Amino acid sequence: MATKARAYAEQARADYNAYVASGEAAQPALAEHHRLQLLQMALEKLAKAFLYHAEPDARYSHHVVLSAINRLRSHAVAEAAGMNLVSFRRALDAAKPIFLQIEAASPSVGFDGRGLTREESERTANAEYPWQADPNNPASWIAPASYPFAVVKALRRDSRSVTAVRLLDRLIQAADTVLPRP
Amino acid sequence: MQQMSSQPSVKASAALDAVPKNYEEAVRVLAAAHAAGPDQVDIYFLPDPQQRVVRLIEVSEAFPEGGVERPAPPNGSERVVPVFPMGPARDFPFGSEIVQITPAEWEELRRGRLKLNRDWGNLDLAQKVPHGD
Repeated sequence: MATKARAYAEQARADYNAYVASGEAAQPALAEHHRLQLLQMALEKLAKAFLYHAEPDARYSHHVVLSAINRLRSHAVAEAAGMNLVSFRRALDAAKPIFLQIEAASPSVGFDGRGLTREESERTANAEYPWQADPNNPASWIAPASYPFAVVKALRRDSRSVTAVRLLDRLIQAADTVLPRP
Repeated sequence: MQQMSSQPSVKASAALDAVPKNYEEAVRVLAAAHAAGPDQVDIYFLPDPQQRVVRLIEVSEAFPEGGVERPAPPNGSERVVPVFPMGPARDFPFGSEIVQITPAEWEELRRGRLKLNRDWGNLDLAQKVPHGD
């Protein structure tokens, strides 16, 4: 048994490990959109772990990742992530735009971090459910399985994205260190 | 609203590298660290009588709203601003409690129309921390 915050951190670790394991084989075990979904779930749970640490009863639906990142600039979290605060702050700033792209892979979050209504969700690219590109065209639905997500390409080719994913790993590790045990 | 005034501002980079030697320095170091970004942030400090925890209220138009809904008895809900607590580190031997809000929320907090999820006492005692000069 654990606190709500620690349980979210534990699940973030499980999702992150599944993301890594699914990409290790020469032939990845999962399609890229499924791997993106795992990464998005890991990031969301990590962010909520820190937010629930502050208020376990709150309903967090908007700007979850941004709210968490803004609050992580502490010496204790930096130390637990293996960095000093200066390096940690720079790493968070560099990772922020990539984290926001990963967060937007959720069907319930827009590209600005805002929570989406069901109608908006059905018009917005995400890694889980099909969406309609043109509301006036009933044949314009797109399945995530056939969509070239820009962030997926970045995660393969852009070193800043790779660094951001490694920072996520460190943040999950830091959560395990700094979040109080019951 | 008061303003901390006894010491000159510490440059952000130097402040971030320094291990604070006392409580007032810890306030300045943490405020400098949190102000060292591209966004304009006003930072207020509420003293901890035991001088163990640095309590900062950070106000910026760039922040998402800090207030959140949570259930309240009997069957309702209330809007509160969560305080983000964190323990000490080797290079920062003080606890910290941080609130991040918009200017409109700061006004609501001061007028008592919004509340923190921890009792920080009278928010009118908050002092503005100079930083980044």
